Amino acid sequence: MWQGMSCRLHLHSLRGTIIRFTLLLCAFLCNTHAGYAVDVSFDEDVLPILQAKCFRCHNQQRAEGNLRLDLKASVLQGGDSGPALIASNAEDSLILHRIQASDASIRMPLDAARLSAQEIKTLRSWIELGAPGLRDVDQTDHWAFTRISRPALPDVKNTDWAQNAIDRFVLSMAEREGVIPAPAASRRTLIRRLTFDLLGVPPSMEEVAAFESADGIHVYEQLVERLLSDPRFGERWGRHWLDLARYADSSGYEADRPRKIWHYRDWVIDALNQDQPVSEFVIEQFGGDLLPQATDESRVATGFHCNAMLDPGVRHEAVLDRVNVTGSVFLGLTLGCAQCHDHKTDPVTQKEYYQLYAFFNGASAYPLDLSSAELKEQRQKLNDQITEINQQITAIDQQIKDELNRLVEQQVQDLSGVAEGVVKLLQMPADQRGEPEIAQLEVFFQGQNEDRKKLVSKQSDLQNSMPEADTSLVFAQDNRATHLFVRGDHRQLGEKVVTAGPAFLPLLEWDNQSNERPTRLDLGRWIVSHENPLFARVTANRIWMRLMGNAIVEPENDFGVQTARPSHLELLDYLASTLQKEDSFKQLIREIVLSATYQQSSHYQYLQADKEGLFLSQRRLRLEVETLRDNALSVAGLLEGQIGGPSVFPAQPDGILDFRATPATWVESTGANRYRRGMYTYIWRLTPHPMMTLFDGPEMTTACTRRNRSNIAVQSLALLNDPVFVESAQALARRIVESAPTPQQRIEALFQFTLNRQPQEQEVSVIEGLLRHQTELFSKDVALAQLAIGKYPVTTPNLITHPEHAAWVAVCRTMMNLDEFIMRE
Amino acid sequence: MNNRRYFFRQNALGVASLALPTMLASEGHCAEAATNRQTHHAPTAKNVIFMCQIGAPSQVDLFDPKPVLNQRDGEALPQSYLDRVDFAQIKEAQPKLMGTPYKFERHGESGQWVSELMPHTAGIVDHISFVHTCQAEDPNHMFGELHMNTGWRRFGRPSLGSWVLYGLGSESKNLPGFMVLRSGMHPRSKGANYGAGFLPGTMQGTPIQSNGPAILNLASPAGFSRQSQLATVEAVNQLNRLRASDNPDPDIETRIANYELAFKMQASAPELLNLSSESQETLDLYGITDPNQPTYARNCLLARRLVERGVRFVQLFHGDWDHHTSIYQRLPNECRTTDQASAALVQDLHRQGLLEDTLVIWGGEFGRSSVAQKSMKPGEPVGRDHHVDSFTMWFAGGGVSPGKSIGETDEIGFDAVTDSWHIHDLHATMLHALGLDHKRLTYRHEGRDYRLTDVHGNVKTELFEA
Repeated sequence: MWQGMSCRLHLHSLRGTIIRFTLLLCAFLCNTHAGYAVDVSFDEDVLPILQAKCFRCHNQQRAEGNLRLDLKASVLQGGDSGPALIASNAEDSLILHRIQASDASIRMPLDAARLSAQEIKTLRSWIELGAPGLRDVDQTDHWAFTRISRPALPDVKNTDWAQNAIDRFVLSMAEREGVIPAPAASRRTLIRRLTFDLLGVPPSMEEVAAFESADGIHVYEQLVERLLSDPRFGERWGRHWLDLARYADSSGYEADRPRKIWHYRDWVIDALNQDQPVSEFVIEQFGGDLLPQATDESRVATGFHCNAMLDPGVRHEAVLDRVNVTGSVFLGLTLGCAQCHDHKTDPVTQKEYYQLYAFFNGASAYPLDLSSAELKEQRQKLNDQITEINQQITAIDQQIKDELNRLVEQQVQDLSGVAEGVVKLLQMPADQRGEPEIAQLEVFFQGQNEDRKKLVSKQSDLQNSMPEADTSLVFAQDNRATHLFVRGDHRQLGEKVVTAGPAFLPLLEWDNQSNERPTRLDLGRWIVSHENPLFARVTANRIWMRLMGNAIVEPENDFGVQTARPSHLELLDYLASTLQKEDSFKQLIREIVLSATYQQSSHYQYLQADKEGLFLSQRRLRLEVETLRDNALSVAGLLEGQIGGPSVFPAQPDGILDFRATPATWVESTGANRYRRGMYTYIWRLTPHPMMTLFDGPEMTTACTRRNRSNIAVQSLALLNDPVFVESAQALARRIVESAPTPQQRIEALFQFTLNRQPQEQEVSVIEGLLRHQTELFSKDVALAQLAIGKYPVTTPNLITHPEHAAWVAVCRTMMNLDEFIMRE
Repeated sequence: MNNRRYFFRQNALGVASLALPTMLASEGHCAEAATNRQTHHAPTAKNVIFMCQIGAPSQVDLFDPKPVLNQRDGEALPQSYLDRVDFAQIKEAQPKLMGTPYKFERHGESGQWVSELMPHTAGIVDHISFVHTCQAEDPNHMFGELHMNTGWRRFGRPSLGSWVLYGLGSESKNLPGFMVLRSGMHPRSKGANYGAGFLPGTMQGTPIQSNGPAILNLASPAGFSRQSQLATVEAVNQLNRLRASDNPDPDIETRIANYELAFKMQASAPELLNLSSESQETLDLYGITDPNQPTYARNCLLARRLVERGVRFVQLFHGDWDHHTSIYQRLPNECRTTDQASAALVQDLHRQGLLEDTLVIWGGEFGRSSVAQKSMKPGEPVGRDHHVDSFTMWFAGGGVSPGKSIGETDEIGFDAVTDSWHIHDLHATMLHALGLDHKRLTYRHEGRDYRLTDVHGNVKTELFEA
């Protein structure tokens, strides 16, 4: 019916005018009765609904039913079924009929969830209001897809607080909201926060004392510079990056075979320490093997995507993961949604997904030999020897073959000790022997041959003494063709596709003189190009999150159209443009930690007062699993400082590796390797060290863009009883006892060592009480005291009794379980 | 982000504490945190025990008799099936139908069919109801497991138990609210089957180790008596309380509660794991010969003990039912390992008065095919390949109307001829029993409201109707 009406409106203008007038009148009356919201904005209220629910099919590419909802004229003129809406007449507007239809075969959006009542109400109100603001929409209008421009610094009233540009953005928003930032944290908190954040270890007592008592206006800046140039910076931020790279020492899946790729881990640490330009850092990880001057190092960098889990039977899963991780890590896009169909909300088609797939499908991971010249020579020598022995063995075998009849005749003379089956073979007439019998006889005589036995055993000794080659997984092109997977099913190949970037983002350019299509190297260059706004925004946002606890854009791995414009977009763009301009992780980190915003207190009263997204307080964050370990070992004086090298095997409980489809080994490291930083612990993907699982370590199945920070009882059990923490407490107890003669001084040392502060009076009395109580308990059984002291007795005889010393172990355990000890504040 | 659009109020302990079995409550503090969350409707079950049979048991040899399949044994699978079936391993062009060599009989007053391989399960048929038309999608174990246990065929989603904890919290004061017991082969996708996904980490399953120490770090360090340990934990909490009085961050309160629970677990977990208080008759019921041996039977008994102690969700994993070859040797073995204990758990729950509040679920990630799979190795006996289109699971307790046989498959046990119970339907139905509406139990993550059932799932009320 309404279709006919629309005809009238267009063809018979006079009647149309009359009808329209009537409708307006109706609309006016309806408005009054229904109490529609008067304030509906196209850009803020309506467009997000159209983007999320309608554009997928009614856009430039698809225009289902010849209707485009991204063009004003098309909305009003309509497609095959007529105008989509009639301004000020919701009741007769096709769009409202279709989104509310009870018949699912015509209800929009087709094959998707209904619009919510609220969304329907918004559209209805907007139409009744005359569809104000309706305009042509560029689908890339979404805030995250627009080019980054460096925002002007806003004015602020309080000119004292702001330390740098970041603070101007934060403060200006705060002033608009009528709220104030939290006060600065104490110097002690600051140096602890900063050292954990930049190095992943606590500061030493001396460092804290020096910082607290230092004079001068640049003390904090100097501290920041010192920490940024400390090589442990690369370990700390390298570990963050490895979460994104889903780094592990095994292949994952059921088989979970060991793989060598720790050179990639070390490459990351090194690159960050040297502050390699961010663009190079990314480009090498995508296509370091394709660089004109590719080096071993730049090839090792391609380990980023070689880290994907791999089961050769489902190779495509690894390639899919590479596409999805490129989305979540570098673009902030949930590309995986386009694996089976066009993306429901973002302008990514299924074909575009497989065009990205083609970049990775054309390469496979192989082990690059990085052995030293010496090692290579050693392996070569051994290999030559083995080859020579093999030749000798072959000669013997040939001889046996040639002389088989003679050997048989000889053997038949004496059959004592020969197995029954073989006797039958030997007695078989030569002309009746078939191939299998001949083969069996040959094997028998090979086993009898003493020279051969010696050679075989020598060969196996040489094999066993062969040092393993030093390798790392890297990409190499194998140029496979790529087809779209119909409905995401890898067994149903659709049309052939070639490499290309998604159309809604800036053009992916390449040198088409040398290559027919863009390569992985071009993909990396495109990701970091300044025209592409996503990488810088996503990366700056994530660095901010690591340092402030919360991100500016949440969720931090989806910058698609479903994610609303953040209230602090200008701040984000300031950070992102800094990252583009400086091309340096360290510079961006420096700027953030130098801000007054970063230096705010994390006390709960400010956090509570802070509104989400304003950043008017810092946050208390539980240390990550590696940092928990490093903190305890560091305070105990046990932490080993070596950077890089093969992964290590610190103690872990029995039974962890049982019930694997393929066996795994865990030969406990000895000596210094037991006390390496947590990031060097060997990672079996299927059966990681139990602390990793317990304290929210990354799952390593795909990129982990953010870790949980859970707070559960079994974690308390681990901190109380796990051997690493117990041993740390024992080592610390010896340190404390040997550091000072009186209990009073020792308690002070205890607080300085563990928390870098003086104890409060009440705390002293709790510790004194505990010392008394524990000494009493241990006095009843000195054998227990000795067990509690473990392998850390004092070196000076008669310095302290065993029960007293054991009581100090209890005290140290207590300190190392405190909330304050395991939190970065 | 992580807004909870759901019905939780931000309580004093914050998001992270939702599912915490708060011990303080037992001492009169913080009582609010320990009370149960509101349900959407009146529940018929309070707890769940899911006996997940990893590897996929063969329904046509156990619970779904197909006389016609036996008659047609050896015939080629008709082309109409071949055209659409997606075998995981069978490569032959003309696979043959394979009947079962096992005798089926009707059992109990309800007269339900069970094969001779499951005599103990046959003994409890009046307590349980079968669904023969369960339906999965992914014929690959790893993804099939994830689908069954997280509602999603890939990694990253919260597991059943964590959704339930998210919805209901836990009543246990001495143990975590979601516990996991494993025997035989572990699920291929490991911890993802009982992880919290994007839900708060407090809602993840706490696995009891099937080898090595049952729960990690339960023993105090060498030299530390229980008294000494208690004094240490008390000092930790005294100092943490001092800290909390200075900085009232709810995280510190949670940590204090965690330390109390951790200390209690050092006693409660060994107590839980020590079966010496169980009568010989009970051990015999389950078929436990050595209480220290970590077997499926011991895990079934532990499941009862966990539910008894207020643990909300217990999940057993037992493998391996993946009988591609030698099915007629391996299947009877697997049944001998599990049948008695599975049945004993239902009986035991029943006699302890726990069954009416506890929804018990038995089943694998999918089923096995009606056609024979020839081994690649010559001479090795046949087996059955994976089958996702229809398979049998059984349910008991928690409002389940017992003694029913729901759903019917075609004469060769290949397709459902009545309504299919897709994995999503099973999940929706499980939540329904717990008083939760699967469409309203949502969690906001990455800009989207997620559900256990994604955008699918229908509650199958038939399971509860007499």
